[in-house]
Amino acid sequence: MHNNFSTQFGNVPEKGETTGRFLVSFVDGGSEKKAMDLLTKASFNVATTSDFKESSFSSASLPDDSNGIYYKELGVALIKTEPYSDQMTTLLTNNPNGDIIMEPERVIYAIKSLDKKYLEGYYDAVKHLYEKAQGSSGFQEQIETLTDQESTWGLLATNVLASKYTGKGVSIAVLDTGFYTGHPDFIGRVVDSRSFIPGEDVEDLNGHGTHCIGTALGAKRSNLGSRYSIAHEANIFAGKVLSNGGRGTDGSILDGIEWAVENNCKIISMSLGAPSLGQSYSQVYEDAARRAIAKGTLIIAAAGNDSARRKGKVMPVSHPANCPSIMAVGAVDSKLKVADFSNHGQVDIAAPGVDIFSCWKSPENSNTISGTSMATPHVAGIAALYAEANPAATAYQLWQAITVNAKRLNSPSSDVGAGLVQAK
Amino acid sequence: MGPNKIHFVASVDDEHLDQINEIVKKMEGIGFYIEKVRKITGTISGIVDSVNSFQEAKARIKGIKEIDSERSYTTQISV
Repeated sequence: MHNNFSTQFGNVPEKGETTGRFLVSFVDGGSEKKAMDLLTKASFNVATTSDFKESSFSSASLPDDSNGIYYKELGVALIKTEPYSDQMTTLLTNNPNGDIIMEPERVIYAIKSLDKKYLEGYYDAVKHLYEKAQGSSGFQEQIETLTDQESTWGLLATNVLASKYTGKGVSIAVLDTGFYTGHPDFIGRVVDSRSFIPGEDVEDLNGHGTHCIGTALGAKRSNLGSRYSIAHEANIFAGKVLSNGGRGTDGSILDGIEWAVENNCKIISMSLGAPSLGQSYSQVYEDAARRAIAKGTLIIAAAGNDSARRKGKVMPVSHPANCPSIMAVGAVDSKLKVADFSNHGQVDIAAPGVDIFSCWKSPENSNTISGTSMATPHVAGIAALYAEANPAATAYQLWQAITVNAKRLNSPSSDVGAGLVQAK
Repeated sequence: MGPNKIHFVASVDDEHLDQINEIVKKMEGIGFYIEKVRKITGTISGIVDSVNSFQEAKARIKGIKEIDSERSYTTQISV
């Protein structure tokens, strides 16, 4: 396989190969002047992205008269120099407070005629270094800087852009209001669908189901602008268990679960719920979820939107997410704070759920909305990345991997569970 | 079927999962109208005249783990 690959694309570098260039990250990344002063003192003649129009810049074509480029937005420089050169020594010597982090630029892609892919991989490497330098305080700043540029804030916060997985080979069932089959972002995608709502076909005249499918497993390259989807190569199973009015019953939802398990879906995403105040969890759903898990299907459901925290109203996790064998997803905003509406109690994990952009029914085609409904498909899409990474994993192992790798948040686990879901 | 008919969902216990068809027949025998039997999840849906029938079914038919009145669910979008 390796030989065929090499023949097709030219020389494929070995893992860990470096380019001979170095990435330099400045911890106070926002100060362009300070960074440029340090580089100049070390005799680096470095251009800055401030000098380029966005569309005309490529790291592969640094100006001939410079030996580096400073990425203003990231606070990171890419420099050409020999290891242990006088220039490098001077730069690091002027770094008494450890404000500079330097590491070799690694080759991510070296595939001929695919410069765009190279740059994507390169971007991820720079982003990684930036995060390393900035720590958690810089993370929020990064979200604010890059939101609307590359992707939704939700994908950035959950580290989806850095994932090498796509959900390929993994089937996700989204049990919701159906799917807008004519959406331009889904041209060419195979969609298995079925309606369990009497008198309604699977066509989504609500928009909610299409939005959730978009987040979990829509297109990587969107006609709408920013990337909004996670597992863009996963198999789509759209089960209509809620009417176009957004309502459904136990019967239709259990039908959808049965259908998804029958079709070997590894993940079921359910952005739906019913208030549970004063009630225990449903034994019927618990049995269904336990049996689904035994067959290799993990059910992920919305923790519910019954709370109004600013008014002092905090409500328990909804049916059926409150079942022990269903993963309950709470919502956070872009500041990684618990959403005002997000329910409390048996929450297993949190995900972006405020101001989430995704696809929608026609004629709008896109919408930005909030809810634990929006948080749930983030976890479902990311679960598919974990499932692709470890195809032999059981549903319980998948659950464990997702929660163990969550990013700890400064909120009670009864609000955010293990923390913010993170991509594999 | 009376005017106040109840939509229900039921689950079968692990020990009787392979006898779900027999359980359904017994439920029909005491007045349950069965709409759907799901063998993988071990769940049954249908209609019955009264919630009082739930206790009767659980007491008389071995293998029924739980019977609930059907709930309604909605999308969890914040408005």
